Amino acid sequence: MYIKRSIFSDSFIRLLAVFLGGAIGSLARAAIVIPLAINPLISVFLCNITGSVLYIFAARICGKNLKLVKDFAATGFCGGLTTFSTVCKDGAVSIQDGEFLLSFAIFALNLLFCVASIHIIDSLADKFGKASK
Amino acid sequence: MSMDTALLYFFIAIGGGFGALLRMFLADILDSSNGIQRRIPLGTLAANLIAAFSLGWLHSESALDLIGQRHLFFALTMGFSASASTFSAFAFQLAQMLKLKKYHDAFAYALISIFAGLLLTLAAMNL
Repeated sequence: MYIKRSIFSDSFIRLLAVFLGGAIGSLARAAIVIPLAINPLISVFLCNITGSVLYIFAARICGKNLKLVKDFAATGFCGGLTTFSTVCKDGAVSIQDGEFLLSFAIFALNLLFCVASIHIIDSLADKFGKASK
Repeated sequence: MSMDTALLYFFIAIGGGFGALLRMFLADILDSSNGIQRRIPLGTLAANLIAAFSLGWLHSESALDLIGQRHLFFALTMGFSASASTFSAFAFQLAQMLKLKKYHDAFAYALISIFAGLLLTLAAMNL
């Protein structure tokens, strides 16, 4: 009885953490995209870069021990802040308008900068981690 | 901030919360370490493709006729569909594959995600 209740509450807290993280992440993205009077492609790119950098920090700092914090910060917040579907929609709209180069550039820039920033931070963390041991 | 804008942000947040839950469920179910899942994270791939299709459909004429309410439209597009997909986890998984020198897997994962995402969005937008 006690074990069942404990499992339920752990699952519920995890759901709550991901839900809240996703809600706050989406709110942060909306707060960047809606009021900024810049090109929406650039504001989505800024969200994706920021979210990717925060994701690797959350993944490195939390590791396997702080699972709930990782669920909130990485799965919830960073997942909510960044978006793949909007990039696809922007790319599809560009293709429909006959702007194939722009569509390629949207994917290439998002992918290149996000993967590169994660790789650089991860490599630096590995290097400093080894140096401090 | 007007009451209407505050309500709009509230709807986006609620949609975003449910989108994140869907993504988590798909990752929990599909991202196990058996078979093809060991090579490509199917949970994130499925979440991204479902979200791309739903966002495309929400921008189609058939959906615009159905969803006249502005707050509901933003909750489903900027909230749910955008949050159900993720670029951070996608980029992180690609970076991890490259770190482990799994170049073929990384290339296949990126290619499938982008082309299938684009095709599904285009198809959904024209429904």
